[in-house]
Amino acid sequence: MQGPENEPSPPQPTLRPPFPNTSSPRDLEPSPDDIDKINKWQQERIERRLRGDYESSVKNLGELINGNLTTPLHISSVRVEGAPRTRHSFLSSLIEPQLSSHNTVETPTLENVLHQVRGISHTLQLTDIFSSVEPTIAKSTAPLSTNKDVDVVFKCRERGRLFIKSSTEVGNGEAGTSFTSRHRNLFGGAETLELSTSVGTKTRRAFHARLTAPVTASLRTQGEIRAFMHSRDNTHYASSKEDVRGVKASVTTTSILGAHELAYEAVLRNIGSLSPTASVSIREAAGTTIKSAVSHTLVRDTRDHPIRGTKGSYLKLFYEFAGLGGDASFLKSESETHISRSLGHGLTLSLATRTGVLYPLNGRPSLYSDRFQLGGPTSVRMFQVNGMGPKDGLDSLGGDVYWAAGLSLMGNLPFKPDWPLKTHLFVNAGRLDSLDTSKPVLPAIKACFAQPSVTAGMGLVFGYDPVRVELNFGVPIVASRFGGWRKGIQIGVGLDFL
Amino acid sequence: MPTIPLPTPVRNLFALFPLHTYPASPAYSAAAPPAHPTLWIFPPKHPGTSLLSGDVECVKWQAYLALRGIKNVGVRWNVSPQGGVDGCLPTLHLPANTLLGPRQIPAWVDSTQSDGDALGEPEGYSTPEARDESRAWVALLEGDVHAALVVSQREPSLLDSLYKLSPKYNLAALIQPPPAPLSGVSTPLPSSGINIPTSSVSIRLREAIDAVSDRLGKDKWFLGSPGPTAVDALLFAYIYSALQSQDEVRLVVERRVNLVTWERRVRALVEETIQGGQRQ
Repeated sequence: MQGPENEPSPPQPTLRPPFPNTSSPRDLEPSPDDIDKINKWQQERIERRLRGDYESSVKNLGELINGNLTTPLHISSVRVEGAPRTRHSFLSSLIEPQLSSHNTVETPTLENVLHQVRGISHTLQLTDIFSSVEPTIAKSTAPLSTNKDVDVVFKCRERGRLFIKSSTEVGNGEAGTSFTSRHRNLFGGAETLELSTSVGTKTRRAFHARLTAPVTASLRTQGEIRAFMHSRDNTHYASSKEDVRGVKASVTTTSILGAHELAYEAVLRNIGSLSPTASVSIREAAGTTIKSAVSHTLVRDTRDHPIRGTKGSYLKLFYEFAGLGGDASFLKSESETHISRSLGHGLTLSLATRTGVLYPLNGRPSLYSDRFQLGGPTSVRMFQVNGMGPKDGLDSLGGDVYWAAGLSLMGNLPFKPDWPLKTHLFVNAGRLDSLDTSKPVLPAIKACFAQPSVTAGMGLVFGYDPVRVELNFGVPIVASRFGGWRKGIQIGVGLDFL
Repeated sequence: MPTIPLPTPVRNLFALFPLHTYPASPAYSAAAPPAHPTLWIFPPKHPGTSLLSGDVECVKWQAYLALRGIKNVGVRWNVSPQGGVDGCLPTLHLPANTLLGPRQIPAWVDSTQSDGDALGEPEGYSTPEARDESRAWVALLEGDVHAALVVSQREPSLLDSLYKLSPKYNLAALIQPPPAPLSGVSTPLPSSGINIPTSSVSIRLREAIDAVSDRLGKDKWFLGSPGPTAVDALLFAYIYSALQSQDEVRLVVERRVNLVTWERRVRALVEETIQGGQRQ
């Protein structure tokens, strides 16, 4: 018998380096010579794998849930974790309406529970006091619970309570610095207290304190109390400075028409620090006046972009009645619209309008502080800031009725379509008049529309959301005598442009 | 500020615009020039009976214009002191739509009067010595008497200060020597308020009124002038305002019969003149 050691061994292949490359790309792997490409390919492959795993998990979870939507399930309790600074009563006021809205169902199912969890999660996020809200559904731990009872646990993380910001801005002939502090969830009920103070060259001093709090459990209605004070230097167009101090209480809500604000405002205005060259009209307007007014504002903004929108529109309507005590007694109405559409090839055509009417009541003339002002780079371009309308000497007295419209064609810079710097051609028109209340109003309004001031020009637009900067060159085409027009270059910085 | 001159072609281009101009917007809210000179004053205490202002500075100039024989001067008291020339009242609004502060009023009066009405040298006083003496009386009235009047006035409440026009004077600048602050010298806090020496102010008022009364005597015009002078307008304003006050200041003046009689006579003259003007 022969042992295995006596069997002949199979022939071994002979290996002689360098070895030839016998691999064939199966997953589009790049050439091994380029290590960067290899790394990138590897990274993409990992991401693809993870995405696939995630999608398959989501699919499996979806199938699991869809297959059990009709399974009877009942929420035994709801817990919110990670909200030590939020009042229990406030959380209850948010959660209980969501739970009670599904109590009418005879046999609650998983589908009902998921809807409730989604509704509560959405409401908690709307409070703006949590940076993250993660709901989980777990078997109920209550002693008397059954298999159909579950606990819903929201693992939340509260945002920082205090936010402080200081900034310095320079532009449009104005420079200023501001300091803002915001206290979130002040009393544990999603209240926000904002304090802001600033100093500048035109708005000499400004301060406001604002306390907002939700009024309803849906958080769609907010209440706000605001105290404010600012001092504006109007020397360049009215030879005076204006100090404004007041309080405002408002309720804001949303409807299918848009965002509504109903407000009451009591304001103390003081015109003073007159220039030696101040006109007699401004001198007569000097002193302190009180306005006590209620107002309603509706804003409907469906635009996809405030400057180069391709769909939607912007509408703002403002109505104010003053005369609940104080010196001012008037009815005021203002409107503002904006619409823009893409024409293709990077061109955008936009049309904006503004109108306003102020009708004095009780036979009292309108007060300087309440009248409208018009003109300037953010208003009717190629006019001085607030330079349109009735004047006494060099002082703009403001008007009681105005309208303004602007048509603008915006395009890309040649060869630089991706730059935020755009070109535009514009035509602006408008007029500001005072009302003689001893005469019928409608003919005065018609006359206001019949003699428009018109300007035209071109310029560069730099959009740095939400601020817009314009450098324009233009001329007045038609204008009123002593109308305060400008010819040549004008620079504008602002949020809202005509 | 130096400006960069525009090139001629650009200037010519700009000259074309605007292509059409409308008439200027009518300014219904603009102030119309008055038909007659109008003095902007603080409101009278009793507008129904007298047009003399409740502020001694305004009364001075009302009396000055009246005693200089300027007739048809209207008054209005619905303009804030912040609207006056240099931010104070009175201010004279002329039909040419120009405004004059108190310091410009004498020159305007001189320019409107004929040679016969103008004050002769030395400024209407009997002698140059009387003119020089008048400066001392002006300092006394505008110092001690004015300080006593300001101290006697009640500080308006916050609501009153919003709705009623009332003059504000810097009491610290009127009292000599300057009063000490309310806070102590060793406090680290900034000094605030003033410690009004009421007894000292009261004594100085008595002394001043006694001196004025003795100097006036039974003269028709102060310092024995042949006609009314600027110091008469000043003296009338302070005596009138003191008699309108409701406290010790009035009693101090009322004890001097010659002052009361003189004030009554001059007031009749002044009111007769200013009642003819329009009021707004």
